[in-house]
Amino acid sequence: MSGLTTVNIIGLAGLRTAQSGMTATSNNVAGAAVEGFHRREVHPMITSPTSDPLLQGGSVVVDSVVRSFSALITQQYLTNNSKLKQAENLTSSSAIVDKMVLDEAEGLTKVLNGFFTAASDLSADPASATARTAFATSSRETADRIRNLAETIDETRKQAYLEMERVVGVANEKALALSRVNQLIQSSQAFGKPLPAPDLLDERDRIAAEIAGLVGADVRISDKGEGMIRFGGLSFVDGTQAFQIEVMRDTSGKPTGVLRVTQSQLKDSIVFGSAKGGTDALGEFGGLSRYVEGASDWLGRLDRLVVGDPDKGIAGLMTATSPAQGNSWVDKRGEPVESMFEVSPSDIPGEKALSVRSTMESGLSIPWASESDESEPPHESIGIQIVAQRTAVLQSWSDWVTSVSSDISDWRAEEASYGAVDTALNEKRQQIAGVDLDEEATNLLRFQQLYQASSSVMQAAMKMFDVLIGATTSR
Amino acid sequence: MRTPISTRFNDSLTAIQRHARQVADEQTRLSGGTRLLRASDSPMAIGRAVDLRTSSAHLDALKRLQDTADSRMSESEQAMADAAQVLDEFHQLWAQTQNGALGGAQLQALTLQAKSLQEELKQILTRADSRGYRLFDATELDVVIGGASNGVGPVTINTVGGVGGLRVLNPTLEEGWEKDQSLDEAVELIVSSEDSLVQKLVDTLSEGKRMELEDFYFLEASRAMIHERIYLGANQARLERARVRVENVQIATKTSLSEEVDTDYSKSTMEVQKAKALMEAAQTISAQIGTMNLFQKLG
Repeated sequence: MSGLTTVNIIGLAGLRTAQSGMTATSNNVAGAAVEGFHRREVHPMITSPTSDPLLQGGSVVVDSVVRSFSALITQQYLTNNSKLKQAENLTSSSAIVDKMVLDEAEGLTKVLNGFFTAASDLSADPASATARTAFATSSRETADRIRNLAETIDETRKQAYLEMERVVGVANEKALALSRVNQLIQSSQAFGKPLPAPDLLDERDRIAAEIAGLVGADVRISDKGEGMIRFGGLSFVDGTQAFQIEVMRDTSGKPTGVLRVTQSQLKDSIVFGSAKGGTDALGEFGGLSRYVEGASDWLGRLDRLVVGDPDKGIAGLMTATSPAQGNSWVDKRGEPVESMFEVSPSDIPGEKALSVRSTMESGLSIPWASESDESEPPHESIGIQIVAQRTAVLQSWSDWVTSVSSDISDWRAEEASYGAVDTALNEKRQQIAGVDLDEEATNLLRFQQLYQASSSVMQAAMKMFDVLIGATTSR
Repeated sequence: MRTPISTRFNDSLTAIQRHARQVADEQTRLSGGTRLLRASDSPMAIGRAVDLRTSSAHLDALKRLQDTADSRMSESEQAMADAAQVLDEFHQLWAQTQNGALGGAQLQALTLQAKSLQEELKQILTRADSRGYRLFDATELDVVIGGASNGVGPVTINTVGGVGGLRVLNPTLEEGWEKDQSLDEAVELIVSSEDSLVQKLVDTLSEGKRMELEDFYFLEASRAMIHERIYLGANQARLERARVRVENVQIATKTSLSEEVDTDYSKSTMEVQKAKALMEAAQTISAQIGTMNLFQKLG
C-alpha cells in the first residue's frame, strides 16, 4: 500500500504545483498593467516523494515564487530616470519663456526698433509735437516691455521656488512611507520567512523610484532587502529611519537650490549635511534648481541689456541712448542732457531690468530739450546720436535672445538624450520584469497539462486501488 | 527576447503621440505662417531673425528720413531758385537805373518795383517748409540718410540753404554770424538795414537819384545763391544714390528674413500628410495589440 500512497502523494504534489503555477500566472496577467509590478516566476523542484532511497520516481514541488528583478538594470534605470526627470523639469519650467522669447524676438525687437525709429523721426523733425510724443511713448513702451519680460521670467522663477517646496514635501512623505515598508520587510524576516513577500518588495521599489524621480538620490538595497536612499554619503532613508529634507534659504529668505538633511523628530533639529540641486540632488528638484539658476542668469543678462557693461564693450539701452544716472552729456548747442530712463541702483541680478522705467511722461518732458528755453525744440544732434546706437543695443538684445534660446535648446537636447536612454533601459527592465501575455498563456497551458497529468496519476492510483480491492473481494 | 505587453503598448502610444505632435506642429506652421514654434527650435535662426528685423527697421527709418530730406531739399531748392531770380531782377533794375536817359521822376517811378522786389526777397529768405522749418536757417538742419549701422556712423546731409553768400549785399553781416544772430536778424541786415544795398537802392530811387556801385553786387549775390543751389543739387544726387542703395538692401533683407522665419508651405503640407499616415498606422497597430496574444488565439 505504501506504493499506492506514494503515487497519490506524487499526484497531489503535482496538483499543488500546477495550482501554484496557475495562481502565479493569473497574478502576472492581472499585474500586467500595474505600475511597478514585477513578474513572478514559479521555480519547481523535482524531489523524492518519500525518504525511502529504494523507491523509484519523483515528485514535483514548488521551490519558490520569485520576482523577476535585475538590480543592475534597475539601478541604471533609476539613475538615468532621475536625470531625465531633471531635464523634463527644466524644459517644462522653461516652456513659458521658450514661447515668450519667440514672441518677444519679434515683439520686443519691434518695440526697440520703434524706439530708435522714433528717435530718428525726431532727429529729422525735432520741433514736431507728434514726433516728440511718439518718442516719449516709445520710450515708455520699451521700458515697460523689458520690465514685463523680466517680470515674467521672475514669475517662472518664483513658481520654481514653490515647486521646490512641493517636491521636497512629497519626498519627505515618500521617505516616511519607505521607512515603514522597510519596517515591514524587517518584520517579515523576523518570523523566519526566507524572503519578504514580492508585493512588499514591489512597493519598496516603487516608492524608492518615486523618491529618486523627485530628488534624484541614490537607491541601494541592503542585505536585508530594505530600500536605502542617499545623497552621496548622506542618508535620507536608512532602514527604518527616515530623515527630513528642507530647502535652504539665503539671508534674504529666498530659497536656494540646496537641500538640507535634518532629523526633525529630535527636540532640536540637527542638520546632517546638504546636497546641491543639479549636482548631488537630481530629479525634479535638480531640474527646478537648475532652472532657477538659469532664470537668474537670464535676468542678470537682461540687466546688461538695460545698462550695458562698459568693461565688456556691451551697449545698454540706457547708457547708449542717454547718460547713465549721475552723469551728463551736452548736445550740439551745449545744453545739458539728462537720462531718459531710471533703474534701481541695486546690484542684485535682475533688479535693474525689473525696475527700469522711462522718465518721459509726455512729449514735453523729453529731458534733452533746451532747458534755457522750453519753447525751443531739442537739437537734432542728440536724436542723431541715439539713432547711431540702434545696432549696438539691438545686438545686445539679439545676443540675449540667442543665449536664452540656446540654454533652452540645450535642455531640450538633454531631455531627448536621457529620454532615449530611458526608453532603452526601461525596455531592458521590462524584458526581465514585464509580463508577456504569450508566455503567460503558454505557462497556463503547461500548468493545465501538469494539473491534468497529476489528476490522471491520482485516477490511475485510484483504479489500481479499485482493482486490488476488487481482486480481494472476488475471492 | 521577451516582449512584455507594456512595452508594446508604450511603443505604440509613443509613436501615436510623436506623430500627433508632429501633425499639430506642422498645422501650426501652416496656419501661423512661421517656421519656428519655440525659441529653442533654432537659437541661431532666432538671433539672425532679430538682426534682420533690426536691419529692416533701420532701413525703413532711413527711407523715412530720406523722404523727409528729399521733400525739404526740394522746397529749399525752389526757395534758392526764387531768391536767385529776385536778385537777378534787382540787378536788372539797378542796370536799368544806370540809363542816363532816365530822369528823377522816372527813377522815382521804379521805387515801387524795387520795394516789391525787396519784400519778395525778404519773404523768400524767411520762408519755411511744410513742417515750419526755415529753409535758410543757418543752424543747418542735418538729416541722417545713411550709415548708423554695423559700426558705421550716421551719414547726414544739410537739407537747407544758407544766406552767407548774400553778405556781399551788406558787409556788416559777419562771417559766422550763425553763432550770435538769428535768421531774422541776418535777413534784416541783408534786406532792410541801413547798410543793406537793397535798402540803399530803394532809398536812392525814392529820392529820384541813381545808385552808384563799384561792382555788380546784385549779380554777384544772385550767383552766390546759384552756387548754394548747385551744392544742394549735389546733395540731392547723393541722397538719390543712398535711396537706391537702401531699397536694394531692403529687398535682400526681407528675402533673408522670410527664409529664416517663414513656413515652407509645400514642405509642411507634405510633412502633415506623412505624419498623418504614420499616426493612422500607429493607431491601427495599437488597436491590434490587445488581440495579439495567445490568450485571444486560444479563445
